[in-house]
This record gives sequence, structure tokens and C-alpha cells, in this order.
Amino acid sequence: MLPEKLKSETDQPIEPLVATLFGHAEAFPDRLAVRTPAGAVAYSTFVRRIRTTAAKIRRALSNRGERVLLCGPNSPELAVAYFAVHAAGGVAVLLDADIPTAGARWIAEDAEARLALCARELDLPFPVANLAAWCITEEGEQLAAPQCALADPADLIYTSGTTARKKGVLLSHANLAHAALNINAFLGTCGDDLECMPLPLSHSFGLGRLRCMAQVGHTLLLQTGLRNPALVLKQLLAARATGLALVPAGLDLILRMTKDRLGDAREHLRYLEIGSAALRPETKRKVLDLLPHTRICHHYGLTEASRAAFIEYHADRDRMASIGRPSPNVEMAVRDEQGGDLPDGQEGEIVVHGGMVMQQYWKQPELTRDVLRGGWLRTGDRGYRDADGYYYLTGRHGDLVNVGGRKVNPEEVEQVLNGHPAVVESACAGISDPQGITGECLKACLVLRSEVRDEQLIDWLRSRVEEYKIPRIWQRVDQIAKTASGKIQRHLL
Amino acid sequence: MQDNVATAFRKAMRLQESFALADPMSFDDVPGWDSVGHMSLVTELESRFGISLDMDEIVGLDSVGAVRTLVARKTQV
Repeated sequence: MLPEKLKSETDQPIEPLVATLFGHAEAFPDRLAVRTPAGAVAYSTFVRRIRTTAAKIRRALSNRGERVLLCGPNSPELAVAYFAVHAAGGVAVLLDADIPTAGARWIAEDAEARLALCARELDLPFPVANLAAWCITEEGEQLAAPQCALADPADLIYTSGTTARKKGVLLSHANLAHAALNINAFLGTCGDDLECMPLPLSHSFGLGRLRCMAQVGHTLLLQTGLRNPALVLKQLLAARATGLALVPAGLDLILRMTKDRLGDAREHLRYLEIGSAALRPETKRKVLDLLPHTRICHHYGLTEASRAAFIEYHADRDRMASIGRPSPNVEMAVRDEQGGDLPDGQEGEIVVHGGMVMQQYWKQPELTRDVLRGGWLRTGDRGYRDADGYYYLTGRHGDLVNVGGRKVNPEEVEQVLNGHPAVVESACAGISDPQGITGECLKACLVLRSEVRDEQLIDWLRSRVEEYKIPRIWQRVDQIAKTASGKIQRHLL
Repeated sequence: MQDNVATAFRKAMRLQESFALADPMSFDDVPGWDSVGHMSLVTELESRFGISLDMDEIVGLDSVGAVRTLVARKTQV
């Protein structure tokens, strides 16, 4: 049978997560903080490396609150760097490991960053330090105590917005600590847990798992992504992991590539957190059958308001179309366009309130005022609540496409395509993924001035945008459907 | 058969004909070899060569050479 949950270690006062982490090194120095297939780092070593790296970062920054870019694949060093930036009083800005240089430069400029720690070479207009070299040493000056307070900014996370310009979501240390508390409370994570984590730390979901680890003090089996989904499961089974975090696309890939082998984890996997996109009904049923004793927890949330709601599918088998109820310590409501609360059953905009709601959109005060009203965040998602307090999504505002849990703004891809010499004009929209893996994918419609093969356009995009943004369906058209004002009619593509 | 492996890669990863595949190449060396590309590759190999791959075999598909070796072994049986 599954191990009993021993003792919740989340019943603690809210403080910056890095301060909690420092406490873990004193309380259980030999417990493993991070495991990888290549080795393991105990909490004592993990925190010593954070202290050493933080001292270096502190010397490199002029003031507290300055932004530090972090770029690399999942590794103990990236996790060290993240908390070291916090300990040094800086603000962490995580970049996709494979972000094109132009994208990194745009973020560096917008964030007015002063320093970057990268696993690969990036041409940026300020010092770029080698991530591994800075974060693996325990020798040298060590920062005695974290130089941050709860109200200080901690993370600046860039997400795709409904305009071509990315939005920087500014989160405080209090936001991060509250979010971790709520998540740990729902999942029931405890210090004895060993959690498989293949999601990129550069994205909200994966980063959230790292923050939860900092608060509760369990062990993360940090994996380098889902490129080889069968390997993720093999490592999970070999380690007899008790926790797992996956986006729906990852879960579908594992199920399809390994048949029913996920069921081999039924005697040790205590929780599975899923999020960032909807799960196909057949996948839900399959996972419930394969893992009858595991808490199958699906979250609803945004970068702006981490994990606002949760549902556990075993407990709510008859409500599997719902996104669940508000997370512990979170309030949700459905409002009309004037901001008035709507009664149960009536559709409107979902709004959320809680300690995890962001501070602001970076340098976009008007946008911030538009979405933050009296501490409540307008999600842009439409839905309703039933009489039992369960929420249901009915639609999403804007043109964003959710590709396997990652948001893509079609305009960004169109701009790059329009720069190709053979392309007169392009239009992109989200369609249902024909392979049934990523939920949605991008379709591109092209008006061409000369012949060009799909592979040539894919090659053009590969050096300019991330892989998941590349359209999977291509169509040549004579003209693009537009409104009278010239706006692309994406629903007609 | 070896050319068919290259064709399977090109189709799964949506590569140009001019892209030269070499045995030592792994995930980082082949554009498009992400999780979706990996799934497409497995599907392509199974349908193209009429083989069925189990979890351990799929785990081992971490380089072009490993794919060639596995396909050669499975199609000899």
C-alpha cells in the first residue's frame, strides 16, 4: 500500500522561500534536496552552494531588486541559481533553455537586467556568467542570511500576451510563499516525498514545483524534460517516486509510448499534479484506472495567479469536466463586464483573489489596472460556478494558443513568417492537434510570392522562435480573411 | 533500410533534404527532436518497418545511431 502521509511540514509562518530553505539545511542537512540521474545534492550542500552563489551575485549587483537572467536546462545548478538570486536580493528572470538570442535580448532589455547566468553562450549587453561555474562551488564567501523581505519582488516571468508584446509578470516573495503553501496543502506533499519533475524550471508549472520543494523540504528528482517520455517513466519506476508533475501532453505521450506501464507506479505514487492545459476525457479515465490509489490533482491557474483552483479526480469522478474549487486560502468568483458578481450557473469572467496574485505587469501600469481590481485578478477566462462551488471553463479571451501547456501568440509567429522572402503575408491560429498530443497546435495560412517548401519555412522559424511555436499544419491561400478594420479573422483559418 | 531510417527521421522532425544525419547525433543535434518529434519518430518507425517498440527500446532511442541499430535488430528477427 501507499505510505501514509507522515506529518505536514507546511504549517509554518509565511516567509521568503529561500529563508525556509536555509532552515531545512539546519533541520535535516542530510536529506536530499535534488536528485538527478547523475547524482544527488543534500539540503546542506544545496544551501551552501546557494549562499556562495548569492555572495557572488550580491557583489555583481548595484542594488537590491535588480534583475538577473537565468538560462539553462533543468539542473541542480539552475535551482541553486534561482534561490541564490533571491537570497542576494535580486529578481530572477528565467528564460527558456533554447530561447533564440533575439528573444533573450528583448527580455534582457525590457527587464533592464544587469547580469545573466547561462548554461550556453548568449550575446547580451552585460556580463554573462557561466551557470555551472558559478553555482557548483561551495568555496569562497558565503552570504549569511537572505537579503530579501516578503514584500520585495522575487520573480519576473515573461508570458505571451494577447498583443505581440510579451508581458512581464512581477511576483513578490509573499506571492511565491503563499502559492507554495496553497499547493502543498492541496497535494499533501510531505518531507518524505520523492517527486519526479521533468517540467522545465523556466515555466511557471515547473518553477512552482521547485518552490513547493523549498517550502516543504521534500526531494525533487529533477529530469531534463520530456523529450524522451519513456525515460521519465523508467526513472520514476526505478526510484519508486511518490510524486509526479506533468502537463497533459506529457501524460499522453507517456501513456502512448509505454502502454499501461504507468500503472506499475500504483503502489508508490501518492500524487500526480497536472496543469497548464485541459486533459482529454479518455486520458483522465485511463489514469484513474491505472493509478487507483494516487491523488490525481489537476490545477487551474495562470502565471499571474498560480494554481487558483484544484480538482482531485478520484474524489470528484462525477465532476471531471470541472476545473474544481478554489485552492486553499484562495477566493474565486464569476463577474459580469461591470464587475458585478453573477449567480451560480451564469456565465461570466472568472476572477481570483489570494496571496498568490501577482503584484503588477512589469512597466505596464495601464494593463495592470485593467486586470487587477481591488486585489482581484481578472483572468480573461470565461466560465461559471455550479451550486456546489465547482467552476467550469467555457472559453478563453483572446487569440492565445495553448500548445501542450505553453501559450503561443499567433502574432509573434506571423511576424517571423512575414520576414521570409517568399511570404507576402501569413496568418496563424490554434487548431486541435491532429496527433492528439498537445491539445492545440498552430496552423499557418500563407500568401506566397514564390514557391517554398514547408521544411524551408520550418527551418526559417527554428532559428527565430522556440520549437513548440512552429506551426504543424500549413496551407497556401490566395488571401487572408480580415475584418473591415484589417484584423485577421483567425476563426476562419 | 538505412535510407529508410533517415527518411523516417526527416519526416518525424520535418527536416530539409539537405540536413545531414550522422550516427552520433542526439536530441540537441537534430532540430525538432523534442517530445512530439520523438513520438512522431516512434510512430514512423513502427509503421514504416512494421515493428513494435516496448518501453525499454523507446528509452534507448537517444541517438541516430541507436535508432539505426535498433531498427536493424528488430527487422532481422
